[in-house]
Amino acid sequence: MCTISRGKIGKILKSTSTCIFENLAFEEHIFRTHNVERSGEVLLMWSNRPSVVIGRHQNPWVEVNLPFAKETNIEIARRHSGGGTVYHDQGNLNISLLTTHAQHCRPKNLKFISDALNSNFTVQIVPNSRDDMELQPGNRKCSGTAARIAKGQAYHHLTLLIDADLEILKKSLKSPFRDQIESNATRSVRALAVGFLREDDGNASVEGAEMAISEVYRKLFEQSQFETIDVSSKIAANPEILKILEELKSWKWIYGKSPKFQFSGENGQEIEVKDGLIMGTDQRFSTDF
Amino acid sequence: MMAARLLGTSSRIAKFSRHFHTAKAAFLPVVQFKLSDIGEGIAEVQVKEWYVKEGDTISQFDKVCEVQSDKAAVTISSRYDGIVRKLYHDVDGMARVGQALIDVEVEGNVEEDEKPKKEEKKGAVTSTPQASKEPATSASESSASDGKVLATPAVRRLAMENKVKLSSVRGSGKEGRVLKEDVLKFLGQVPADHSSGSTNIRTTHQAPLPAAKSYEALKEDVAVPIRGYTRAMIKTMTEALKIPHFGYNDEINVDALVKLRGELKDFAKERHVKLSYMPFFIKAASLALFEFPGLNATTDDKLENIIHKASHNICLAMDTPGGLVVPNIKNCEQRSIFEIAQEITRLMEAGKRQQIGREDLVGGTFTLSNIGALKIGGTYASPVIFPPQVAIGAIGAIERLPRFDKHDNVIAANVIKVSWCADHRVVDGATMARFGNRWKFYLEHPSAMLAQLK
Repeated sequence: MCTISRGKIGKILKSTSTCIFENLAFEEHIFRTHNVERSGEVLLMWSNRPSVVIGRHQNPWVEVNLPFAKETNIEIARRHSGGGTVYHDQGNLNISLLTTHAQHCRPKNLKFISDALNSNFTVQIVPNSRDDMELQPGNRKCSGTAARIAKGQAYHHLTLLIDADLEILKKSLKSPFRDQIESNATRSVRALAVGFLREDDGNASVEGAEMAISEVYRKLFEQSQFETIDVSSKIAANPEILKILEELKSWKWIYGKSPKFQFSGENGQEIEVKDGLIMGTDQRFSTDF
Repeated sequence: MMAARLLGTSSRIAKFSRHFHTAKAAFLPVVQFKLSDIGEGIAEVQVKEWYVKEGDTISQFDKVCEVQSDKAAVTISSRYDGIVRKLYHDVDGMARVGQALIDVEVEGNVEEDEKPKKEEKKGAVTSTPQASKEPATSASESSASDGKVLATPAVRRLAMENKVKLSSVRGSGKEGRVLKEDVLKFLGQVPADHSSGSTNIRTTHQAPLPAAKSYEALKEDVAVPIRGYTRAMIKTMTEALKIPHFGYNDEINVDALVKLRGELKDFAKERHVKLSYMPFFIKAASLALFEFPGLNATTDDKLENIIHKASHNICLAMDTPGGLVVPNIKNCEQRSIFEIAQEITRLMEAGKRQQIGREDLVGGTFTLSNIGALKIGGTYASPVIFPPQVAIGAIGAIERLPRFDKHDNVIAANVIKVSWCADHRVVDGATMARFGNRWKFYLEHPSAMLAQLK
């Protein structure tokens, strides 16, 4: 049979950290330092405490219900990859696939992932042309995808809702100010319907999904390794990753990286905001009135 | 200095090195850094953020900008060292793949930097503030890293990234200046004076394409130092000429091959394989080499033995932004045509980014050069054997020519010309001819390749 080799080695890493910032920092660190051509591809998986994650070029005031997130202690983060905003909690599995730029193919990845899940659970997950995955019947979106490409390497990461509180999800992604802001930031495309695996298969679990996906991933390579990583300790011991972590947590990154925008206040005032600061001042923009 | 003579009164300004660019602008080539292929069939991306502005100094691998296409955030890194002269898009503008992203005024070559420094010492009247800055910066540059070692910032950066002390590296440039290839040799990435012909690809591409042409502005001869790929080519080619070459040329009717590739197009696309003709040429050669192992061989130094190599590691000549590189695909005898095609894609992408690793450059046993693929055209050629191999083939472009069919009718046929060359000390004409015929047979009758499929 004619097989298309993906190379010799595939590494599977499972993070024990439930902090979105730590996991994103670790993912970015691997992206920057692991040479795929020399050391093989990587599959990284993790879950975290309730968080809303916006894409690299998005605007949190538009995408996130900031007051609600603050009240309910939902973390807000901005990732390095493009795409739209997602909500996730411990019932969500984050999957990140690191390859060379040439081997980066999101449809190929979504195919092997959906096949793995469909064979292990009584679900019918279908990737669509926007690289989302939907539970059928009903086109219920259960996964969103994003990618990052730089220096000949790329990662494709996606969320996978196994169990979710759809009420909280919908509420956190609906910003009260979304119609008052005009900007060229990437706008999320709202899914018409959202679903999670447990809706269709009561036995679905995050661990089960991890195992199913790992098994299939292993088979793509001649050699594979599985490693559980204590990401929190790893970061604490490595100043380089610590730096990435600090940046991800900083106001400058989360809010300041928003592309220039215009905010129309209730009383007719127009505020121009650049780099998160009110234009002409060094005052941080805020919707807390 | 010729520049000084030409400029007359402004000569003193011209003597100052690259830190003082306005006067030198006329002499430094400006290169258009084009947006390279992002993949996935994407033709256009949106520029989201600039990391540089006009006038900034930039080094190879520095971040230039962030672009976004659908869900992919892509960081574009610079291919050149130099000064940014123009940004072609505003934030939120659309940039097209293959079109200019920024203009970079490329740093001049090593010679240019040295002469200004010497002239400075004679003292200058105009722009005295610059004069006092210059010696200071150059002194601090060199003493900052390693005493008095001469090297450009790009080389220092390479050394620093690899934790190499410049003072431990033997500089082969003028006045002991340390060049990129010196650092790489030191790191063992290139065998120092091995005549195996492995090419030194990571050396600086200090002379990007227009560099030689920019010297047309000067009226006198300019000595262009030989660097990078050319330097490696000189070594290899000089070795190669010790081999008495003989040539054997032939013409192949590739109608069957064209048809075959057409049939496989959709299947290949499904498998995400970019299928050109080269994988077929390579596989046919590998199959033929089973019958003629004497051609997949290397000679040892003293010509006491010809080593018939077990693996068919077929080299392909590639034209990259930095020049000719000849990586090889390992074990073609064990790879399917699709797998060979994938390897070609991988090597080409790496070649475009000048990131072909050493592993891919060593161990070649036979070479195929596809001149036709470059669309430069050409039919017959006289390829030069890549020592210590013993044979090479150069394949011309596909031409549509009138030929006679078996009923003596004139038909339009797709034809390619192939030029084989072999080492006449160890290969005889009959062997090369028979190999050539077998290769031709496989390409004209692809079913014969199918019949041997395991």
